[in-house]
Amino acid sequence: MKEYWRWKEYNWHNPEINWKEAEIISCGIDVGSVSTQAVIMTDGKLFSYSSRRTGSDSPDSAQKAIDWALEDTGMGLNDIKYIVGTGYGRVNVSFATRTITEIACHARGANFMYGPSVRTILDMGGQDCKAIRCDHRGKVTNFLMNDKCAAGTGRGMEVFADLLAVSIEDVGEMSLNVEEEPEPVSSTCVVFAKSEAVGLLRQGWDKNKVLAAYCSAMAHRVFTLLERLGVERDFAITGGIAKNVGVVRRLEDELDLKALEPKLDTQIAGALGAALFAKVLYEKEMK
Amino acid sequence: MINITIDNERIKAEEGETILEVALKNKIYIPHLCYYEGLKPSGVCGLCYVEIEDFGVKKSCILMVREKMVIETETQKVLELRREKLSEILANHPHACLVCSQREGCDRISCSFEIPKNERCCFKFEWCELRFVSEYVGIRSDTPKYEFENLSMRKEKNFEFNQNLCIGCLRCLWVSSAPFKKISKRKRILVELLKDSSSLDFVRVCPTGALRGDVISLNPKVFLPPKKILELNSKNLKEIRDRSGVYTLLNEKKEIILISGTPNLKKSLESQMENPKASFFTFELCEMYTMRESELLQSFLQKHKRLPEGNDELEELF
Repeated sequence: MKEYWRWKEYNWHNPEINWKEAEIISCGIDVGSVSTQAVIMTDGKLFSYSSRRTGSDSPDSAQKAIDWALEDTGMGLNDIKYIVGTGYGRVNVSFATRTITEIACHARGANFMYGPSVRTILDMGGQDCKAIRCDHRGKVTNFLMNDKCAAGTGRGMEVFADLLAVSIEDVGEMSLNVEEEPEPVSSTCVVFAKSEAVGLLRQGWDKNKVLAAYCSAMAHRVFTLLERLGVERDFAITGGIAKNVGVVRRLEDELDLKALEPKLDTQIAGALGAALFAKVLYEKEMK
Repeated sequence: MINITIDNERIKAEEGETILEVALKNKIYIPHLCYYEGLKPSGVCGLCYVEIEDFGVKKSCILMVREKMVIETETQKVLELRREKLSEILANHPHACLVCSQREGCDRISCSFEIPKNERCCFKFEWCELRFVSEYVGIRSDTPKYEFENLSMRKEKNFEFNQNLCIGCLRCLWVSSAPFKKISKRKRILVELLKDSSSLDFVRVCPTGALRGDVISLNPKVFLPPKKILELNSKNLKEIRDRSGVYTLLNEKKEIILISGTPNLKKSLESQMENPKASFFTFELCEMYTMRESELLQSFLQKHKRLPEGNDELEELF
């Protein structure tokens, strides 16, 4: 049976960089509740990254992520000077030199990814959402999280994709393909929304419409979070849901503000920030 | 001078002082909501009960001290009575968030338990006196469910009054010395009496979110329940087990300087013994300690508009 929720795991490296010439190789590993990313940087430039699902064994997930980021690069774990672990499972990165909270790392990563004009970041992760305010250096000035519930997060989207037998990558596009915007589902709670969706399908709604109703409920949920924190321009979204245009467009409409176009994979923001911190930490240690 | 004993401690008191006043002055906390320093006691909340030899269980905000009184502030009888009284108060005040397992770090905008908005806690949640006192006294699991009654809400020029949140403690009336004409059936206050008041003091003394004005932080004159703050020394650390959780470090002025989640509280706290700034600590056991750490940091940020200094060390990394 096809598992529609299964998003593709991936890795990438920049073949144009000769890492052997690099002075400082730093690495960040973001062990989230749903996915784990590893980012390797050479002298502050993005060299390689990987993204995988976090298994039931977090220490193992961290190891696998870094192995995959190193794959085909010729680089070994020993070549890396400093590793920073982040994410809710950060203490499970046994080979990390230090850990830093994911909030700090996301802000730093977004600053690198979108430039110094970013002031508000929405991190839409696997099981929670965080609205973060930061200064021009990417340093956190304030933040708000949702409660512990997975409603309206990446994991909720996975459940929906599976229920409707739609590949998770297609959810966003499909949800925009509706003649008229339906009422949002009344609850973003994964369990309630699931039964509501079944009801709607039975009433004859097509998949696109049901997805639209869910995406818009999700957008509204994070909108309230952002509204409470206060949105200052520029605004950027990180995390897996940033790839879901259905949620992003609807959120932009509600905010009446465009999110910055990502130049890099939005899911690696946390690990990227961690790798940037790792570089500075190494430099400080060498002094 | 009058000599009394409170919780086995010998204390000197002035004639004409109430037991509650003497206790608070001597850093012995007795929970209370209607009492406020300098105001007439009204005795309506019923949380300040104490047990006195030969007198029985009495309200400490009303009873004056007498020579050789022997007072106990935390007997089983007293604790139960306080909980009963609190339960009566909360039956008429929204309290769903107070007993919610996810209350810390919740945005209270969207509720995973689908609690109707009117039954959730208000804007004051992070610094609510009623909440702190409730947590101290303990909320009975059989506390009746709060029913929203849609009582009056008024918006004046410089303050708002939401009668739904009023617990009828009367502090606002005492402080404004407004003419005491109208108190509705359930001792809820009609703020019409107050709208001419030029000072907003009556707003500042409100222990709930019923009165909302210019203040956005806790009134420093309010006596808050003590937290279990422990001195950071090897004797206290012996009691800590090798468990995961979140600890808070405090400096000698008992200001929070670090909030940190750890897989091993004992080890982390032991390593903090070398921290010259750390004098005290608090801790809680928690499996999801990284998340809990973020929640506590969030609460701190909302309250103080900055991070604890120990959590702000990243500054040097920019």
